[in-house]
Amino acid sequence: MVEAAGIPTVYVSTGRDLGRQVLPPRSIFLNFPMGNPFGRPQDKAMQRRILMDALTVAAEAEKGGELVDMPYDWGAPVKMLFELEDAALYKPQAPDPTTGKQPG
Amino acid sequence: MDEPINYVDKINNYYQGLGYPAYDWTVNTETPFTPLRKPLHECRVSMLTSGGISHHTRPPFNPLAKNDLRVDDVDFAATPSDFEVNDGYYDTRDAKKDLNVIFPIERLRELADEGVIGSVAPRLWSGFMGRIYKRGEVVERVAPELVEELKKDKVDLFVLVPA
Repeated sequence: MVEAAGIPTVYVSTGRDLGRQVLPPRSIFLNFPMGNPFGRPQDKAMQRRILMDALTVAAEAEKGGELVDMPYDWGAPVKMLFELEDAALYKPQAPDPTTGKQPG
Repeated sequence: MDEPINYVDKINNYYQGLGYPAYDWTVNTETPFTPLRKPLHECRVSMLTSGGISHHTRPPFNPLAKNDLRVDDVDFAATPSDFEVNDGYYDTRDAKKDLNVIFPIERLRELADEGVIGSVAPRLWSGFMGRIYKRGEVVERVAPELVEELKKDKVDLFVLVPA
């Protein structure tokens, strides 16, 4: 929608198959967990590198549908949410309206 | 490195195993393309997250809501620790420790300060947080409204971070 309206977009994806079926104009794929497209907390260098990768793909892509696989290794098995041990992580509740946080 | 997770199959199996009907996934066979017309160092960049991320001055996103088409504008100068994260489709622990793992607002500002990009747009965006079964309303109303706001801000490049 945005791209068709004349504003270039780039999509930073952790779901390779999801990205393939949506077919965004340009995307980079990170084989990282879904909540960590830019890497780990406090790892400023990696966060910056991935953001730069996305901007570079945006600047250099010449045709629509381009997907660039990033070579970075998460360094641990990449799990889907339902595969995590703590079910509370994927069975969230309505947040507390005052604090905005999950109850409990 | 491990093979990428096949989310479509796993999500279909998980939810159909719980008795839900099959999700009608968006499958596109064509994509629009608009080339970037300026060098990066002249571009004004904005960014969107769909990670259930709300500034503490706004109501939290409810991960149990369906068809929540709300899209918040986010001040480009916001502080990462001033956000709440509520989402049921990814592990939010790291995002709560450092918002930049999913919405790298500080890294984007640094690139602007260093002149790598021209500027960060005054408004970034957070919305479309999932459980959306009304694709038509997104396509016909919400996305075009967002496009108008991006044009007001003279955005040259839009970074999309789904979650």
